[in-house]
Amino acid sequence: MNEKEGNSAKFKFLKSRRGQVTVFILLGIIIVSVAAVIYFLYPQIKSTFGIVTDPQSYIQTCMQDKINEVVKEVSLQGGSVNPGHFILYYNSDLGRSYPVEYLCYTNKDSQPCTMQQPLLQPHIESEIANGIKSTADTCFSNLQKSYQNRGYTASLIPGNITVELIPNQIKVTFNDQLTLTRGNTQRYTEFNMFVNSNLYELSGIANSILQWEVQYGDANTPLFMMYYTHLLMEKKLQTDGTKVYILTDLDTGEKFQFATRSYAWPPGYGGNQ
Amino acid sequence: MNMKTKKRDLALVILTAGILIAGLLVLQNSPIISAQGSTVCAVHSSLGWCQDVDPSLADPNYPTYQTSCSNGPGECAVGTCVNTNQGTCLSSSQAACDPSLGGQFYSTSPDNTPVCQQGCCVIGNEGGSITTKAHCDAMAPLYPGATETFRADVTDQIQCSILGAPTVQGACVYSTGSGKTCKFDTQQDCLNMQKTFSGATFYKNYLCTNKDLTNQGVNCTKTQMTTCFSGQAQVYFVDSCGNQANIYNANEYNDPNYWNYIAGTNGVAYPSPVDVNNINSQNSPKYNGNCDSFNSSTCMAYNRNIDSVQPQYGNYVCRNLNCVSGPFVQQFVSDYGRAPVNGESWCARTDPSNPNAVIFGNNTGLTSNNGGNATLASDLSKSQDLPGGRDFVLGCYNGQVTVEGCADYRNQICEQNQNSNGVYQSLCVLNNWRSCYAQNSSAACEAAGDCQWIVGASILKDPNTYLPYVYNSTTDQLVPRSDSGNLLGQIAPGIFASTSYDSRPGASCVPKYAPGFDASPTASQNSAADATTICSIPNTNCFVNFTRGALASLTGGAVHAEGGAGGWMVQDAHITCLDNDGNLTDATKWMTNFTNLCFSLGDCGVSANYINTSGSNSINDMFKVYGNLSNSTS
Repeated sequence: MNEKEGNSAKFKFLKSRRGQVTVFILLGIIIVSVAAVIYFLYPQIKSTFGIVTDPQSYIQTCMQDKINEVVKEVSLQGGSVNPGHFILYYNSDLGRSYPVEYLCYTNKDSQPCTMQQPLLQPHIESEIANGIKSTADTCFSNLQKSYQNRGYTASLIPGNITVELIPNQIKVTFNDQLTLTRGNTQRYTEFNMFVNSNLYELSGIANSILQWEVQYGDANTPLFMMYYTHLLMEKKLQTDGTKVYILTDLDTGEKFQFATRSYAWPPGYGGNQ
Repeated sequence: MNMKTKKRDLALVILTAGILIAGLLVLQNSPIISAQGSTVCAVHSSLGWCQDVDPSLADPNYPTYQTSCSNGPGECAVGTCVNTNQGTCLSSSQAACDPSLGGQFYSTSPDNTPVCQQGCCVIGNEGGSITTKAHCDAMAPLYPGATETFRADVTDQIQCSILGAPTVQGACVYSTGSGKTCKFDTQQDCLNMQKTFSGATFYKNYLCTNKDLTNQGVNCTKTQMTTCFSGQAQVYFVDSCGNQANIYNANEYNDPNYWNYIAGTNGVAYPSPVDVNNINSQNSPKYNGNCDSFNSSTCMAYNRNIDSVQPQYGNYVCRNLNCVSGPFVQQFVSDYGRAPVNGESWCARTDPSNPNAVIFGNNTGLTSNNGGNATLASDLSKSQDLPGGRDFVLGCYNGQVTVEGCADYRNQICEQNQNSNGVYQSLCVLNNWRSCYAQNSSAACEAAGDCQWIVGASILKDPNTYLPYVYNSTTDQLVPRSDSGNLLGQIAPGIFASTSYDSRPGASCVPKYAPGFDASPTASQNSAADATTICSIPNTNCFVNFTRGALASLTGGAVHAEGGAGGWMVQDAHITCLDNDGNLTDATKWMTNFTNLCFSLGDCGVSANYINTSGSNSINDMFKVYGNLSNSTS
């Protein structure tokens, strides 16, 4: 069949009923596929194209990854973003080293440790808040601009960030105030986010361990695990007497690790005093 | 000099003295920086809060004290830091208790701080837990509507858990703007709800899916969903309103009565305990959610990689907390004939004969015979405590095998016991060895710590003669030798008449579990000195004076210990070379005795390490021969 005859055959197919049905079926499949993509990837598409439907959702999407990142960092470094006094510990399960902060420490042998973070949970809350501040400022700034680009009058009063560790979650509150005006006025005085995390319980257990370390120089790991049946508690004793505690929630895989040095025994008679 | 001048001078002296005394008093109570070369108590330094450090490490923004931090000077006084937001109480220095984070400092210990008194906290249906009143108060708002109860007289966790177990439960039906709904709750909490929802009615032992309630307009229906509830080990069904229904029992799912009433009431059977070891039975986790965390199982989200059976309904299952797979489980089964159970722990260390293998069980240390006294050259030869070796405690907890090392340098050893149920319980205990060497009797030795009395050679020496003590078994004392004849004032060859030789053996108190030393390149001078000191304790010399026999050339110069014209003869010998019968001891035996004595003191002597790598020293470094037999006539 030559080219002229081929084109003619195609034209005839399209003109025929069967051909039209086929075309409509294909179009339908394409439309349904696009709709499905939009439905499942809408938040990402929105954020990619800067489309903002409501400020709360926007902030949630914008901050989610950063909050998760900072929470993980703080959890694996003894509660701090930048630990002051730490031991560099290689976690074989995670495949890298972390600076793990000493939460109770003494540089002497055969002596109880001195508590370094008696207010562990407020400290963690403060560290998370400070760790996400910069990203939050950017997100709110972008939020304001996106509304301005859509013809709104958008005024933003920056506020502080409060983080609360609560059972099974972390509540993050952004106290920024956003006022949007286009015709009518909408005012947003705070933005709340909830992140799934068991850091509340893990840090609470860490507190109990620290009290044992101060009082007895050691914590009874079996006792803790028999009581908390979803907990794995590892105690990694280092050569210099440091202990790295690793608490793992067996349900979620979430970890909290920290270091102590209490009632360390030196080698020989005198060791390193 | 006139009176006026004298009075003025005297006044000046008194004033100066007074100023000096006052200054000293002020200085003693003020933070100052000490002279270079000594440590100070720094409130804050690069090592954290309240550490004794070199002055150069102290944070200049905080005071320092010319005393040890353990004396609790100033802000380093130890008390209790109470977190007023969360109610936690921890021992802490005042310096670390930051008020801006909600910290309130008390100068008393946690046990003596009223707000930190422990008791049983019960909040709603969340179970009971031992905690402080402050913490209980802080937790209550997290469970709106729940009743908070604090019992200061209850400090036992089991008793508290019983208190926290719901007593009367049932369906609490109340009306909202969108109609009637139901919450599964305690009777007390339902009464509390009446403050918010007038007309809230409590139905004892009813589930919210009860058909009677459905007829009243409550729209909670049965589902196939399951979940775990905080504080409870079992798997529960949930209804469409999110309420707790009965303990998961797949065999009863289609029984309408099972969704009407709480199990154990009104003809609804309470399920028997789940059998996690028999996945084919009707009581397996596939059908049964009555887990028991005290024995072997608890409610967990189903994980195909961990759980051996999938539940018929829902996504939660009773997980087997015993260790059925994983590292060391197979060896445990091989050694003890069964798998480790949840909560079981046992001892382990590297096998000296095979660095790739692990030995389970107690570290036996030095073996003993003869009624408790080990003898040299027999039982000490292969202690399990090789250089670099340490004990470990392996444990089975929540389905995982954990490995916990005891302290390095064998400052701790693992002790394994078996309870009345045949379950092993182990822990790291202190290796109390440091006072062993100084003991001079078997009674004192056994009381001194982890020590053992061995007969055969003495570590302790008579300070007058420098000769090793001998053991008086009648009085159980190490005593000076009672040889007559020429006694040695200093270590030198001597002559002893065999008839007056003190034939009593020596004895030593040595560590039962030989300690380790820090032989690393970064070891401090102190630890290196310790190793040298300890290992040199049994140093000794064995002087033998030989004379050559007339016919030595014919016999090739062989040494005959007892004399003889054919070779070298012993003219005289130092007493340390003599055995119990006063005869010149076999050199090999003598060397073995002292090798084993060295070995028992710590990482001394010549041996391989815990992974069977030989050390850099050889036997020739331990024993040196001075003098030459070949060309001398004596």
